[in-house]
Amino acid sequence: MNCIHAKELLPLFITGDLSAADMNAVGEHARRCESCRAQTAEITAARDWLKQAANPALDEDFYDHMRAGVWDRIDAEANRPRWWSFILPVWTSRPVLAMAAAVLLAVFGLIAISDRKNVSTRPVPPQDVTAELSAPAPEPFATADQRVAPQYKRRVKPEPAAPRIVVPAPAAPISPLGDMAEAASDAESIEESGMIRIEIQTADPNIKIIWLAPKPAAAKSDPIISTTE
Amino acid sequence: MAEISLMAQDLRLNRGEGEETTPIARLVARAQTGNREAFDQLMICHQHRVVALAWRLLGNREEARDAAQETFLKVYRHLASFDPERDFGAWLYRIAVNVCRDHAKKRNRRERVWDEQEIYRQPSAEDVEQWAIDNQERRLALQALAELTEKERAAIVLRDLEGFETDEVARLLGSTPTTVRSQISKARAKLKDLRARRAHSLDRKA
Ligand SMILES: [Zn+2]
Repeated sequence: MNCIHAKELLPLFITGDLSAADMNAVGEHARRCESCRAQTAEITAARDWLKQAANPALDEDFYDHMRAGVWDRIDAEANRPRWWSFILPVWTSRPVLAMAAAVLLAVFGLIAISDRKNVSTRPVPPQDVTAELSAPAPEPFATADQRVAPQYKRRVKPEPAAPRIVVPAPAAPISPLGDMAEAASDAESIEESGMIRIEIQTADPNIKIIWLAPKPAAAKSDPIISTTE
Repeated sequence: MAEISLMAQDLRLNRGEGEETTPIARLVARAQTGNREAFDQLMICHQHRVVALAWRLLGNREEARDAAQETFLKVYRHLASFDPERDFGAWLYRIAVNVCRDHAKKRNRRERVWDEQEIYRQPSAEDVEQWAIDNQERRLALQALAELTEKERAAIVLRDLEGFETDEVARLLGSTPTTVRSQISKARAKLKDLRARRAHSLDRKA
């Protein structure tokens, strides 16, 4: 084996990463070639140096923070699905939606009438759901499936026309319930203000259900609903 | 008291090669039932290795921490479907390698500098000097790794720093042993030249 070829193989020679024939040939050559022996030593030294020097040397605080961050994210993820799995099965059923909407309309219609003059605040029952009666929807929804259609995003500002009850949502976007992931991420941004706002367009374009709920961790403080015109 | 029980735990964790169920396997089984302590112990057992790998592949501790967290989060998410018969460490390590490579790809767009300027573990008064030398060497090591291509770096880190055999490196990187050998060869040659250049410039300064 000539010296040039041997030198090409030296980086793998030092850890035996060559075929048996090449190992023998390089070894044989290096025994007689001082330059190759020196180069073998250099490659080995560089490798040993890297092994020794390339260590992060971080203190225990670093690792404690790292693990704490993992738990934070695990807990954040664990809370979210439970929340949604609780809401979805119930509220995506059409009869339930219609009934809930009717009941809520009645209840909050009464509230709106009795509290017309003073804007009041009141604690919300465990399932704090309000309905918003808006003007005839500009975009009628043809089928039940479309009640969560994404075009709903465009209707962020409610029509001013008809009497309605507005839940004072923390400044946050309306989250369509159609895409769970999207809704969840929307909810996440709302969560920062301690509340989760969920809006559902029912099959009836006139009925929209707004769900304003405390996020699970902050559940102690009762959410407040104020009725306005 | 607490220290003693921790030590005992460490001993248990380090022993057990060839036992029917290793301590790690027992921890995995407990973690799979939702036991948080067990999963935390699993992280403690593997964190140094995962962080070291990420730090070597990514070149700074912020990204190393992010990658380690993402690794453990992925492990947690898929823990239920993990087959306890398999090697947990190898599984976790494969996830870590993939997470780091994803990070590196994203990072290429942001061009993060490969130079650790942060201060590491604070030295005690006696070993300030040694600490300074170590820090300098650490920085040089990162600079050296930074001069390699992404693939050369991954190969050399896994082969020479993490101690995997070439075939295992190839499996971890989804490559072939021949390709990995070529990358290792180039990386070792580059590192040797780098060291030589540095020695030369130090000689000239002296
Ligand atoms: Zn030679």
